[in-house]
Amino acid sequence: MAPKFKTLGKIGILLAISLAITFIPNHFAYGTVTGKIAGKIVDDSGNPLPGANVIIVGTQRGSATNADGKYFVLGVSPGQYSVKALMMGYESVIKTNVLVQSGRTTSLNFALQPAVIKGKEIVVTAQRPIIEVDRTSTEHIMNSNEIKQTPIIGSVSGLVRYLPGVGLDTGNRMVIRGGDYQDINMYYDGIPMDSYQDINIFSVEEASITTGGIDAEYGNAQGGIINVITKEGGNKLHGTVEYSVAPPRQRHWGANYWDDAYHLDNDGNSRLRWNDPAWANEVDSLTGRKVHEKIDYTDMWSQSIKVGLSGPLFLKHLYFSLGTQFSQGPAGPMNVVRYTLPYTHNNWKVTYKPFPNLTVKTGGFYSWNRGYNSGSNVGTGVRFTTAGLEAQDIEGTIRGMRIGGAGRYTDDRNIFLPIGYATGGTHTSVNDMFYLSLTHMITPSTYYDLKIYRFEYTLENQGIPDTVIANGRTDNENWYYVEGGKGINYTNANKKKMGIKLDISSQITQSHLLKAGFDLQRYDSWQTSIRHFTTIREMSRIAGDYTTGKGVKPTKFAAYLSDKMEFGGLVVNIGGRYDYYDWGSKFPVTYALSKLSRPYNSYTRFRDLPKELWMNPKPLHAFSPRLGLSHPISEKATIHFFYGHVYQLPSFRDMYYEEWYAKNAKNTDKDVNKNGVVDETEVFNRLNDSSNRSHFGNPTLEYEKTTSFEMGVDWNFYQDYILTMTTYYKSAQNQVKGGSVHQFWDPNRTATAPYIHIQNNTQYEDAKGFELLLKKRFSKIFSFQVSFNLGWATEGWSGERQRTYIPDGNFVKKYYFEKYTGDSNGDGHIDGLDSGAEVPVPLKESLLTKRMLAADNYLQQLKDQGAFIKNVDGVDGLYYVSTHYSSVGHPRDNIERRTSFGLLLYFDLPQNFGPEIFGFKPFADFHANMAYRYQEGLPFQYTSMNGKALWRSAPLSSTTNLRIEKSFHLGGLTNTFFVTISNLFNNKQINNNSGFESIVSLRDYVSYGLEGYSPLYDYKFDYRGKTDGSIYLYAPRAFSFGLRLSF
Amino acid sequence: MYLRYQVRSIAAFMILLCITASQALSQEVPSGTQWGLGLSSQYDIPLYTFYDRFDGGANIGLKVSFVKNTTTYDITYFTSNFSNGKIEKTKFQWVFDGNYYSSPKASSDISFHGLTATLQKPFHFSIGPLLPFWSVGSGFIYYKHEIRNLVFPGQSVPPLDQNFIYSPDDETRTSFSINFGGGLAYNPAPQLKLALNFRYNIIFGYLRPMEAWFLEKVTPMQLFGIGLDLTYYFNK
Repeated sequence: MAPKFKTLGKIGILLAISLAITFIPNHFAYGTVTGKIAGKIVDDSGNPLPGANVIIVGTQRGSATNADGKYFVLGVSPGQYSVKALMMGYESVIKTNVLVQSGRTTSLNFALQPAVIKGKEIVVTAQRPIIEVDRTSTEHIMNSNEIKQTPIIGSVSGLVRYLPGVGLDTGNRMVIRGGDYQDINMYYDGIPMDSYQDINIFSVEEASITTGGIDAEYGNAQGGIINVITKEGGNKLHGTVEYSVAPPRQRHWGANYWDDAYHLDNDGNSRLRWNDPAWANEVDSLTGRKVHEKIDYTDMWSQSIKVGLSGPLFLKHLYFSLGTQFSQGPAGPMNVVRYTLPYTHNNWKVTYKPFPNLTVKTGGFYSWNRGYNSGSNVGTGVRFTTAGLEAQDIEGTIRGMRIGGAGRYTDDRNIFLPIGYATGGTHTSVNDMFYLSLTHMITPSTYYDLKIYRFEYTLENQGIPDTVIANGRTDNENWYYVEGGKGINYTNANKKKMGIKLDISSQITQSHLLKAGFDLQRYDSWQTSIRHFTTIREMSRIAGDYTTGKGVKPTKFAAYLSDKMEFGGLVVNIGGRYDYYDWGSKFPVTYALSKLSRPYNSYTRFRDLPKELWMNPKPLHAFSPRLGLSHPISEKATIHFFYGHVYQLPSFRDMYYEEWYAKNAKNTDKDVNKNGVVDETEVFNRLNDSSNRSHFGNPTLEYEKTTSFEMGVDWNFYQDYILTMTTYYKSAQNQVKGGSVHQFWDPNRTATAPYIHIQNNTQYEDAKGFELLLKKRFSKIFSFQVSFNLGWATEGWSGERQRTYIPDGNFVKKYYFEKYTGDSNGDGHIDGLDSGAEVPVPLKESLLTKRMLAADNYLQQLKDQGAFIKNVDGVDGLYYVSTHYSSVGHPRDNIERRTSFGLLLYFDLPQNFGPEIFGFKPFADFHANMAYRYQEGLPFQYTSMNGKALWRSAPLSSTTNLRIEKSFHLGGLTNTFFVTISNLFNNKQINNNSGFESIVSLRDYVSYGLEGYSPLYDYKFDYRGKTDGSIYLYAPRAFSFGLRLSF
Repeated sequence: MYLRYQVRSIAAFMILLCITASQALSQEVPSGTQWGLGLSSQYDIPLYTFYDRFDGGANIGLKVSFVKNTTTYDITYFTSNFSNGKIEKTKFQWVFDGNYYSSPKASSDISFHGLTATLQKPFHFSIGPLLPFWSVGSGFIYYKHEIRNLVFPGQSVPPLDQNFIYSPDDETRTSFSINFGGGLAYNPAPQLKLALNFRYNIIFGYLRPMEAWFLEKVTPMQLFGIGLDLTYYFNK
């Protein structure tokens, strides 16, 4: 393609510039947040020009060519630049629109003509290469311009969903290539996050997603990586403010929730009797409040505001960028409040470049939001069936209404509680992150990037009730609550992470870019959840050293080494990564001890487990190789291949969780020392449930592992059209799954002992598929992107299903007893002088001997039966036997969407386009953006009429959104009015995610095409077509309007 | 009846166009930039699992056409209807007695309304007066699938009550579609273009399974169409 030429007649001081450039070293790191410019400078005969200079215009960055005429500039922040090549005796050439992306090499060559006119410069618009020749796996990068061209999708996560390989799971969370949502890791300005953080789109300089193989510097991400780099700011002040509103409307399908059909009694009559003055005007005698007040939930506007600002600060070479967003809208039909509680997310960054070879950055984000706690197990607390009322725990704890199961059940008893009524209290969560980074160019070809960061997540509660009150007050007809009961249901949490990350890059030769680094993270994390209703009393937590509110303090370490080799067209990315994890907390030898009939069988008794039975789990180690190759097939096509291993830690919940229940929720804690109060040592001493309910973390968990293969072809088949075809296979082993149980053989029990539930590395997953991406690069007026995915994801079980711990006689002798006493000080009395702790009473000799013998006999019996008995490491006299289980693979019913398709259309009319009508050009600066996505439903298993278990999939869903914009320029401001239409074609389609099985009868759906009730049954309360809010995906078509100011 | 009316109107329009075109037969494609209006007609044959449901039907449409150099861009609105779906005659086997039963009152139809954009480029050769071309297009298509009065096979008490009928919910959706194909173009007059089209169409829609009648889900809907377009170009 011929570049465009503009010739300028400028007089420049070439010599001075040349000299200056010669002494400006390169700087900035080529790590996760920077890219590289490299190329060759030749003369008009094609001969290399050694000693020619290259400078990035407006910066002090540049380089000089070597004897072969080749140069490189490392550590360039992502963005668009003008790059100038100059040499004495030759005309300078400036190439504009040079795009630099993180982790990539921008190839930029120059051909200099001998100078005829001194100081003459030639300005050329660089043409971005259509094919990215150094890409060795599937990675999609969007820069700020491309993000700006897709205003219809207001978030990075939204953009990513239109890429091949990206789907949505049962909970509408992003998944990649058949993996789990937890398998995606996010990097924010090079800092690893443990969960996805949505960033203000106006602050994003570049967002990339790697769905294929990841380089050695990334880890803990079996699915993929999302890398977001925020803007730095430049010499000019830039900003964008966008405000949008959506007018009031009913935001769900079906009838209004005040419709009589939702409020029928057993006889099919509506409980809402607005025409009955006595009912309609009933007043609460205690508060004087009108009891039955109908509050419209459809009359509210929603609004959101997003601001992004960047530019210079008061000092030279000091820049900033920041972003903030705030949104508020209707909370949802019949919700506890009318408007959503305020939510805000803010991000910021300050960049200082005091010297050419040094850059200091600091940045972070802060988000805050608030919510209400339900004081009950099931939200509003009441379930109504065709058989009658079925009370569930505490009723009336929070204003609202529960719709479920296609309208078969209606919990409407709380709809007349006052706005904001929630006896369970409120919670506030805060997410904040701060980092400091130093980038230092040691030599022109070697630099390091050092980051220190801190992340904290806090969840706190306010207004938690002190006591549980089972019943509230109702209206005169004993149905609608005027004042509800009180239940306790909250979680407090604090998760801190501190880290230090060092990356060193060195272009040791023209062909070898070596990278090495490490990342050390230290956590301090705890969580406590309390639930107390009439039927449940529970405390669950993540805690260090068995102390509530004290954090577990694990350490994560990773180190990597990689080499990116470029030989002509061949690019090889080879690397290795080492991961290490130290648990940072002690664990009991097994939590199954808590299910023994006597010893250790409550939360407080377990606390006193002897020290010898607490252990530090073995640290985890993993080494993962990564290899990526890329090679041109022709001038317009390349092929790439990737193979690699990725290891990922299980979640904190899987590793550290404890769950303690009370046998009878009505029992309060026992006053062991009879001093009239529940002392600290006595708190939760009634959490001694002996059923099979409890879940616990597993200190024997290992890393999950995925082996990935991928092969792909990029083909620029016509002008600026690119076709990318990729095929992949992922084999995941050791995935953590529930369903395992641990038991402890009890010498005092003749029946089977209860067990605890535990997560285990027992799941295997396979994913394979084919992806297609067809893109037309933006030029002139129109461009598009089409992605298609065909994939299979299966899972199965292979591993330990059950483990039974068996003590021998010696173990029983040391650690077993059957009675406790409150006489902790041993003075023969139980009184206030005792601590409140329960102290074990040693067994009588004869009984102890009996128990020891029983244990030894049982062990012998197992040996005689040929059981494979293993010794528990580090614990004398304790053994275990296990049963294993394996299953045939089946479709991943919460993940697999066999096919999915995404389409983005861009339509951009330039300024001065079209006819002028009365001095106005209606088609100038007109933009339209359409986004279409369809995905197949999740698989489900059902039983056919002839008894066969068959797999099918839920129906597909699709959505189309459209945004139209018109811009005007006034002074230096660009004003853009826009209209967004969501669900453009008003498609009404059944929810194909979780809950599909509760909406339809699977057999009726597959066999008879029924999405509603079977015609066999005369449902008295058939709400089909009316209770659509809960069973349909996407809201009805909706319009929103807004204004965006940019400068 | 509606379709017969449409066919008669199309025929009249085509005759009118031919009469008013006073130019001699020409083998040249209109060059430069031109725009025109036209009619499209096509017979669509469902493929694969869609063919298990319907035999096919005709679609007719109106289009606006732009020609720049040798590339033609058409924007077409069309409508079609397939009636007498095969389920009307298909029997189901009732598991409780093993016998096969039909639904004598059943009816099954699907109608389409679509707006598509197509790009057409000629090959660099001709076959006498005929100019071969290839085409690719996409658009959005609204469809409505209705089934009525099926005997319900889910009954569980013998004997089967053949008057116990039901109608599944209609399936409606607006879906994205793509098509590609080719054809032969002929210019009976400089401003007229007659094109014979062959197109493979994919509609990213979905029809529910009805496995009691041995019908699997249909997704995407695939059709092969053979059609005739007539376009009149207004010289710019």
